[in-house]
Amino acid sequence: MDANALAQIHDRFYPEVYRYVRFRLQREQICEDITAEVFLRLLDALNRRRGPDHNLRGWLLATASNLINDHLRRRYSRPVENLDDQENHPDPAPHPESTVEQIWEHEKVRQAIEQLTPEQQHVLALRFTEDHSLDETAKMVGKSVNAVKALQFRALASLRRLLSDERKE
Amino acid sequence: MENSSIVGALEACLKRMQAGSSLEQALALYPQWVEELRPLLLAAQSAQTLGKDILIPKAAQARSRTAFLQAARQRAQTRQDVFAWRFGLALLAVLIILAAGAGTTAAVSARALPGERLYPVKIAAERTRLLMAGAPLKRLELEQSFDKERIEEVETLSQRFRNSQSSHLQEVTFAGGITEIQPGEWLVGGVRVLISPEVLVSSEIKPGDYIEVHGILQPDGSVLASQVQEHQIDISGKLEAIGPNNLVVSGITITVHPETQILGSPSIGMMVHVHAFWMADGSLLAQLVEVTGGNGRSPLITFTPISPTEDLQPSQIPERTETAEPEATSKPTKRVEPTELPEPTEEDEQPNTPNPTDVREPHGTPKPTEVKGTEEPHDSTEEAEPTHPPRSTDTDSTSTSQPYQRTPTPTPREDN
Repeated sequence: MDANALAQIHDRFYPEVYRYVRFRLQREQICEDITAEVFLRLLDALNRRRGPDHNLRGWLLATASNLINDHLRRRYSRPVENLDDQENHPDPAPHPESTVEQIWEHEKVRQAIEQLTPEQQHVLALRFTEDHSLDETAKMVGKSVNAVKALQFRALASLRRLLSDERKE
Repeated sequence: MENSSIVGALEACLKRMQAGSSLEQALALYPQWVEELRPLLLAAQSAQTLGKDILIPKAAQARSRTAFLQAARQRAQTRQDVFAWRFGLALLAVLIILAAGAGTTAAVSARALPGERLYPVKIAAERTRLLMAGAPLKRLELEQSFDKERIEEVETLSQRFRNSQSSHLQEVTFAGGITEIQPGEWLVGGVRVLISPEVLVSSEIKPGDYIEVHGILQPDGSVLASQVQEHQIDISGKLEAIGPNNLVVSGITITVHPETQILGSPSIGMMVHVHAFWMADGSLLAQLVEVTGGNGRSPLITFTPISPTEDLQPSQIPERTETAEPEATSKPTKRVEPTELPEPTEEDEQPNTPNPTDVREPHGTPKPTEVKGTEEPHDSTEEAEPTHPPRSTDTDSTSTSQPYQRTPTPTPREDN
């Protein structure tokens, strides 16, 4: 494998993958680890000649989605440990340009997003991190446009309800 | 379908908001669903803001990039190693299979008997082992073990004959020491060998000699000889020691006796070539010792194969009193071609020194201890036989082609 080509792939897709992961998970360190793991999985797939044939972005984001789902499953399967898991708390390292209110708002949104189904999370992350069109999202999700429309509708309805519940509390 | 319409309206509003329209501008397109769409679009707006506010951690990206490229290099190296290992393992497997096959063939052929398909494989394997044997002594040991194997083959075939497991006459070739000579029948390595009048044999063969026999195995276990000749060996190597009755060439002790022809003036450290006969007791009796040069040559042993019977034409069998011809070095006659020999000196001056003049003195009476390895007793009467003519001074002094005769022993043919 050409090192330059691999470097370009990493440079080109790392931001998009990271945003996707960060959209779905609260803890930044976990997001960085999962994003790095996505590219290592790409190497493994290329070594096994099972890498993406035509849609590298879709493959990377789908892999990121799977890794997030695995992470969430592990977290939910160990609820006792999660009591001390910092992932349930806002990231202690806010970005300089972000206000406290924005950070807090974002964390509430993330907490709500994490409660959506993986499929709903996947659709919302694709639509609202890189502004993928409905057609592009449908291709990456592997569903029809109408199915994605319905999925998106239900996802936003759930998110609204979760955010309303959060604000009531 | 209301829901379908709301779903479509939601998507249309989202597109407008992504294009830069405000939430209210988007809702204005669908006034009938403002109440339903507003909370959804607010949620979408929150998600959209979340997505756009995500900053890329440059340090993490750099670490990921480094780890990514390093992992790529490691995987490439691992792939090469795996390929090399797979290739190596495949090659090893092939070699093992071949070796197993060769080993199996060799193991099976090791039990082969003359006349069987694998017998040539067995002989070829033995020759290969002789070639591969490094030390001259090892070669001699191998040669002796192979000779024993030939004897055992003949015995096994004889056993099959007796058990009626085989009915056809089988050609055999073996070598062994002569332990008994009776008219028309010799005992060679424990095998009875029938010597018909048609078989040409050297008149010098006697009990104690080590001979090769080629013939037909008979139903009674005897071998009807078609060819008989003495077992010979050529050794080239470094002369390591010189004793009164023997030489040590590359670790091989070779018996010398007064009739041993010595060409040149051998001394320790020199390279010599020795033409010798096997004796029944396993010793080697030097026929010819020739100095071939200084140090540096690696030892070499050449086993003389059984020569065809044509070499033993009656006209070529020299009489004991004949003057040796150049070709008289032919193996059956045990003659060597002497070259210039130093004039005899007084033997008593250096009785224990293997001076060529001492051991080559043709008219000297050989002492019994000088003929080591020969079971036949030597007495003065025998040595004085006319068949051992002293080097005549009447002949051309420059031509030292004096016939060399070993201890005279009547052969069965002569007896017949």
